[in-house]
Amino acid sequence: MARMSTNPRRKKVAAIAAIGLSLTLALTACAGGSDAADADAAEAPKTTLTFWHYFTDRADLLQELATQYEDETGVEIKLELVPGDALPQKFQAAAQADQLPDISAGWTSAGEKLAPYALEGKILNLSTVDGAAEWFEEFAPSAIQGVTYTDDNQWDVDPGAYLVPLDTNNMQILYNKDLFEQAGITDLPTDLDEFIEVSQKLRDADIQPFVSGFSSWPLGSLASMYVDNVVPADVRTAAYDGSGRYDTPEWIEFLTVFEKLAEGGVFADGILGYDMPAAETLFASGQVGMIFDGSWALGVFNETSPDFKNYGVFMPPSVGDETLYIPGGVGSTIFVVGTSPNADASVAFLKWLTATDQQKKYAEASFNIPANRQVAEELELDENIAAFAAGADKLTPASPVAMQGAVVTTMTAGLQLIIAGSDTPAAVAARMQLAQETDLAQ
Amino acid sequence: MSSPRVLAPAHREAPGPRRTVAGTPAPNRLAKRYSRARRIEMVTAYLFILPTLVLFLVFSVYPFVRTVELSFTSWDGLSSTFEQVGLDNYVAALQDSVWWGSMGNGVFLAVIALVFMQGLGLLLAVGVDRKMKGQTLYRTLFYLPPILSGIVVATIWKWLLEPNNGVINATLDSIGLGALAHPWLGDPSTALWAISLVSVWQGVGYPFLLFLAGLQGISGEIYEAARMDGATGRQIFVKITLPLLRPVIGIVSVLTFLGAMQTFNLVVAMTKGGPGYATEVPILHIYRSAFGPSPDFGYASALSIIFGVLLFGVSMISLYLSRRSGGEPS
Repeated sequence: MARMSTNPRRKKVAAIAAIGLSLTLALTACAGGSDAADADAAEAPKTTLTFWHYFTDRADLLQELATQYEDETGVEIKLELVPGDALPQKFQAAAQADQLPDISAGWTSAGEKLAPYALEGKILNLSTVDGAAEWFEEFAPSAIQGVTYTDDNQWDVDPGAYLVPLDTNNMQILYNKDLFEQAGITDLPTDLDEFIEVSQKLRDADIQPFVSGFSSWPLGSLASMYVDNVVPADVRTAAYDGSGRYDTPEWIEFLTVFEKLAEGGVFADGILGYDMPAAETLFASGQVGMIFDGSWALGVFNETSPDFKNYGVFMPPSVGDETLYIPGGVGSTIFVVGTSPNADASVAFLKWLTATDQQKKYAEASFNIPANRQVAEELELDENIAAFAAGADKLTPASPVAMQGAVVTTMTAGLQLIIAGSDTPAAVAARMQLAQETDLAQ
Repeated sequence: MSSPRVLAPAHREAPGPRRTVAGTPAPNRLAKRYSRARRIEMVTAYLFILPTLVLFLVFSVYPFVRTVELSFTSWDGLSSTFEQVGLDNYVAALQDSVWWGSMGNGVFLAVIALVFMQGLGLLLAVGVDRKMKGQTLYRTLFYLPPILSGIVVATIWKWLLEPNNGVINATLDSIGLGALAHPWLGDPSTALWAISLVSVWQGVGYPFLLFLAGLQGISGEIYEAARMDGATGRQIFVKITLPLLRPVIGIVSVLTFLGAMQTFNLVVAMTKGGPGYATEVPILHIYRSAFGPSPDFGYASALSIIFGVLLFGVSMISLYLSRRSGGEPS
């Protein structure tokens, strides 16, 4: 390393040179100020929003919309497709590592699973953004219900809408009209006995009666529907908040419905081995008379079996004394990551994406019921989409309390065993109670 | 096998500075230079292993310590606070019937793998070890399933086992055995057997390869001498091949056991642990505890520690027994 000069004269020369250089640099900077600012503006980094989603069937459509948005605003939307089941885990891991995107598809409605993210500010409360009230006026009330944490929610999340609905959906039973005719069935079933009777007629005609993705979540959806249909509201609520129990006659009666359905031959052979895509393939290929599925199935059938058209939709039969509500409400959702540095730009994109023109394009291309009310009213819906759209009036109402996740898991596994004939409703109810106690203790 | 003679410590000492009769060090420039060179060599060696050591500490030791730490907390995987719960997670694990049921399923898969996967692997290795036409082709074919992705294998077998249109039921039907057609994955009594069948099919290539390597390490002269003494093929296999393969069998057994106990992707892709808990396996239960509807990383960590300790214990016992029976790896 060079040694510093100790000569006073050299020091003086060096100091003058340094001052001169500093002044020159300062003056140069001042003189070129406006040009530099212009250059900075011209070279300002383009805003890029990263958007994680699992919409495999709508990936091209989203890309098209993203490109259109970039053309209109200059904001780039970087879409990253994450396989459906992996998104919650990927998001959780990214949240721990602080590597979240700007926008993400929601994998569930506002409830227990999203509450920790909302509490930690990882999901933006959209009710707090400018113009939120007008924005949310555009959506169907059933869609808003599914994305909103209410004032008295059990998770202590600040009230508000945390997700934006892209579409609405609900689950009903689809039936193959040709197979029903072949089996001589003229009336659609409305109660448990008729459901079993219709299934027997199908079996007599050598047709598997009913299928759904019972190895996965659809069994839980069907079960939640029949919980509300069989178990009185006060008994349900008490069990959910821990003041009541699951091993009561009402809950056992609900579980017994599945035993009766299994013994009545309603379920297709091997139904516990089917996930939803496999069940949909079976139905669309004309091997099963009925399927419990969502409104999104219409798009799936249109894509995978374009020739399969002769099917209809009906409300599931009521099996209890309580009102029958069907699962559904908000369908695909999107949210803004609360910690994103581009939160404002992300909100702007979501407003654009859910505006009338974009929603029209989305609904026409995806066979989904649009969340935007105006679009839903203006579009001419086909017979089956209309039947699903009509189901919006019969959706399960929002409740501030819900069945604990651990109990849902235990119930679903227990129902599988009841359907397989390996367990009894009373034993499963006892396990649900144990799961609740363990969950509350933890 | 005899262990090498241990030299007396005095003989193993590195040459150091010469000492006088009184014991004080005698000045020796050569020895000093040697000692300095040795120190430099050691420092260099440590610098070479430092990156690996750092990676090991960061990616193995730290996660392990963190898992132990987490196992005494209740944490949802997201919130910034950790509630200390002491041994509660371990107590809950002891009372978790689904967890112990999953351990039972893991043991079932391990036993099936130890008997059938190893047995088949050994038979295939013995078969391919002979000089025969198409030997390379067979080796490639047998090792193909293990290199396929578990999810791909699971998807293929799910199609094959599908109750209404699956190839297996259709084949049974076409050969007049339609009565045996069954919803293999949809019945709690057959689902785990079906998973174990797929697991054996996919995994047999590993023991096959290791056994083949072991067989090729056995000198041909031993077989030749046995044949000259009039030994039959069966005698040669039982009296020569198996005893000489014992070290390999010991290692393969431990690896097979560990692999089977950690089955995960096949189950997730084929049954998701169902019907009921019929195919629930330990790793799936740990995964569900961490990422399920009520995520609890503390409980999942406690299950991981219990599982790890049990597997470590079983592996140590297996290796010990293998050594005692003369199967110490050479």
